[in-house]
Amino acid sequence: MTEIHLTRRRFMQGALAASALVVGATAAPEALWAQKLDAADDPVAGLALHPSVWVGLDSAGMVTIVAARSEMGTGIRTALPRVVADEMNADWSLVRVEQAIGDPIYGNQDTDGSHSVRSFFDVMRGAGAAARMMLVAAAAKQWGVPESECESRLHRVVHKGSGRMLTYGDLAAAAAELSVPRVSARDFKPRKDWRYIGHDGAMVDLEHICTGHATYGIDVRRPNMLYAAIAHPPVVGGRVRSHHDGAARSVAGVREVVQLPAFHFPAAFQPLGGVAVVADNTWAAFQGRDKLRIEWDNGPNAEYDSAAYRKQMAMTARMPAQVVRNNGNVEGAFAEAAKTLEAEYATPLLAHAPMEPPTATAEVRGRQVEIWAPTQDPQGAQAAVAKALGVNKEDVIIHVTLLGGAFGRKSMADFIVEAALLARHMRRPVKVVWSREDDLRCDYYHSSAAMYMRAALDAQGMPTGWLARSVFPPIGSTFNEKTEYGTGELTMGFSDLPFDIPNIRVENGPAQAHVRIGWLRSVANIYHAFAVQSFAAELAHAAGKDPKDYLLALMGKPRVLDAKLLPQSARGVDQPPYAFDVGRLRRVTEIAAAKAGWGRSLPAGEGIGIAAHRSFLSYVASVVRVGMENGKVRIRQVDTAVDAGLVVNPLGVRAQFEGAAVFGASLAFYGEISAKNGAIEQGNWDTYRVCRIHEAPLDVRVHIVPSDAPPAGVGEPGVPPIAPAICNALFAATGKRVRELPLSKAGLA
Amino acid sequence: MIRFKVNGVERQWNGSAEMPLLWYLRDELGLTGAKFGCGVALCGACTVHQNGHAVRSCVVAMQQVAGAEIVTIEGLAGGDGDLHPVQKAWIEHNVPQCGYCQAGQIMQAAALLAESPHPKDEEILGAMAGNICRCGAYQRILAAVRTAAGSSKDRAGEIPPPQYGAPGARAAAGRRRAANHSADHAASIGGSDGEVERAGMVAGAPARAAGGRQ
Ligand code: FES
Ligand code: FES
Repeated sequence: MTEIHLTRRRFMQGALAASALVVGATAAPEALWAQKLDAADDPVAGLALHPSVWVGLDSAGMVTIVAARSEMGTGIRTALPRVVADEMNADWSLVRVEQAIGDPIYGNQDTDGSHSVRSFFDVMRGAGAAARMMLVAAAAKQWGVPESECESRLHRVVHKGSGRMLTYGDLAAAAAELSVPRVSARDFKPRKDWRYIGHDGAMVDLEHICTGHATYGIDVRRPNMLYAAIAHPPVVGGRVRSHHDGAARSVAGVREVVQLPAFHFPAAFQPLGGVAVVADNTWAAFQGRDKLRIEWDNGPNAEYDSAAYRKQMAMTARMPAQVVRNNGNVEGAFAEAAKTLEAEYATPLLAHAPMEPPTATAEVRGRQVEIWAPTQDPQGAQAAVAKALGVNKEDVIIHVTLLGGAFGRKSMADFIVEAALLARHMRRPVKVVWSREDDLRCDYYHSSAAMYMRAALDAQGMPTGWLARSVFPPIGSTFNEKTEYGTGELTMGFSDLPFDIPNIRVENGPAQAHVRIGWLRSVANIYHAFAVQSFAAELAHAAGKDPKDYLLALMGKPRVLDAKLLPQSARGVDQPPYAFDVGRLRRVTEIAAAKAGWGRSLPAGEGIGIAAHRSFLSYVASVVRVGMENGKVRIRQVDTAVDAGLVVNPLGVRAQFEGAAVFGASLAFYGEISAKNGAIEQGNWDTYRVCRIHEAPLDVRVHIVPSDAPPAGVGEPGVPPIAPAICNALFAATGKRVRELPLSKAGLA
Repeated sequence: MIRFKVNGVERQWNGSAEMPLLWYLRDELGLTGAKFGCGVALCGACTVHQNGHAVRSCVVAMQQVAGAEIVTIEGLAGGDGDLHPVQKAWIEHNVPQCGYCQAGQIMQAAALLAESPHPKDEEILGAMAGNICRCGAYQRILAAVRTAAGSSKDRAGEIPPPQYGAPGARAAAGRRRAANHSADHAASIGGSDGEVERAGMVAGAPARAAGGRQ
């Protein structure tokens, strides 16, 4: 016990231990943006406000800044440390970034929901400001002058009267003697003095990545390490009936064949079970795994046929369901309508398919466990491993590597628990490596969905009534297999409808999950934006109006959505200053359209489409221009306007929205996971296609709307508008309205 | 005993002759720059150079590297530590997001430029079509290859739209390149049916036959 606790301390401070000055954010800066981290809402978020270790400074002047959120490509490992450095007046070239282990001392580390900057911007400023104030105080003390006569400049403190100067390195030891001051928003630098916040910054790992020296989860190597591949049950809930491992054991390099604990519903973060082959290298483990002969009991999902179930979901969507939002009198509106229009939309299961498949390395010494993993949620992994091994959470150290993509997949700890179980069994470090087939067949899938939309229209073709129903196996089913409704999902672009329509009813119909359902980049916003923004364009067409003008008319005049009209569930964090501001949605719509040259004449065969959607508190509109080649859609240009509030690193934000256009195009064109007899039919990139370079949008223009609003999400919000904008453009180009994704199903991609 | 060079260093291998080069590099040598993304020549994450040509190391068996010079991303920079022009361009354009695919992208681009120093856009797209980037950094990849080729000083986000050639033109570029490569690589960057577009799918079958794993 003693050993691990010492070890924990060492890891918590890491390189900071070598620093003379270590600064924690000792107190919550008075939140600049009325909104505070809500401890009641999230049990660990509140802890970010307690003393914790963020910044170190050594006497050579090197600053160490701790990154506690996981880097999966969003640039967060660069953005938040730059906030600290800015507030501290540190020279960025003298900053090194250290990745935190999983520990509640850092507050919430679950890197999901596009809220890293929103939740930690002020915390990081507090840490930087505290360090700067301590350095100024140390200098004042040394010179015997009042602090007010001293000023922090870039990596040094000067005495204004005499011009005397001490570098941060000179001051490190003396500053370390001081107690950490209480910081308030009044101590923050004025915005005009920001040198990194709001300015482009290259990612801290850039050169390491380009020279092959960055360490991802799959790159971890431990002395004496073994490698494991796992034959998972082909159907979720399946179990090993019997297995023969003679052939597997005869593969050169195979050390052991291990049957993993059987799976029990609900899935949560537990491994799927199956049989593992442990070997001297990855190749031998894969070879051995392929030679296993396993007889499976496929369990309760053995009959699942995704195509048949989707038909059933479409039928459910035609029937009255649980009412989630009800404004005015929808029946009345339909009874009096001049005209009505209805449409059904459908989207399939999707896989995350990060380039780096799930992988983790574990080492177990007695009751102490050490893990190296590409995880979005190190504290979640810590808890899952502790539970599976029956050890204390505090005795599980989770090192977070770079993540080779994640998109939500790596917030689940199933593959990490596998590594821990095998390492304990083998009494040696074990690295579990999933193949692409494992990844695509054993995902926590993005839910399939069926949506039914109906509008009552007046004589001008504007809606007086709006009925929208969504049916999808909810994410909640992963944690309670009986769950059939998904309130949380409804708030993602469906029940928070921003249209100015007097009579609105939004409903949620039941659906069962037969696979594990999880969070995929932008989650339910994907299918909800597809339905809402496609339907808006269909209504525009029916009214004979320009789709962009019609969309703006649907939104109505700039206003903050009246919380009373929204269901309780959709209010959530949508309080001031994050309340849904229709004016901001209008603005990005207008900007995207203007930048794209909306309304100009296009070459024959081309079409242009628009979609606007708010998610993760950011307002995004995309205009997509397409042409047709050999009957297939080609994206010529994408203009995305985004109002994400304050932007810390515009360079990184542009990259996120460029990437989101590709991610959205991939799911619109090709994305589909299907199952027969409970087993997933796709296996590799040939059957689960994503855009390759010549298929991808290559002219994505990102227009960041300058904004004084507090920071909002950027990793996910770029995805939802893309698929509907593509389909609206396709309609403009060809007159074909596609209501079911992917487009490849209709031969259009 | 199989003898060959990796990044200029003589190596020999006594183990399985069937083992793909990728796992030898990663697990035996500890050169983890080449990445695993599919194992069957569909994604390009594992791309290294064999005698100057880009190959998918996940489907190159150790017996095929006898006598060969292998260069990995770790060995791409000059001996003086000076980065390869492609690496410099990648840094200038801030190409990577998660970065996982980028070693493969850079090795593929470096091989392209070695063979065709001033490629047209359709040639770039044809050559890079076998390298998947799930983060979608393609626009910057294209811009960086153009920069490395000295063809323009485009800045990411402001590039003119690429010229999509007719499928025939792309296929010709694919065939030209394929002809100069090992059989495995030919399978991975363009099929003989002349559709670079279908590179991924065409690649599947021969790649598996060559030692891929399903
Ligand atoms: S790992 Fe995908 S091509 Fe080799
Ligand atoms: S940068 Fe993430 S896969 Fe290419």
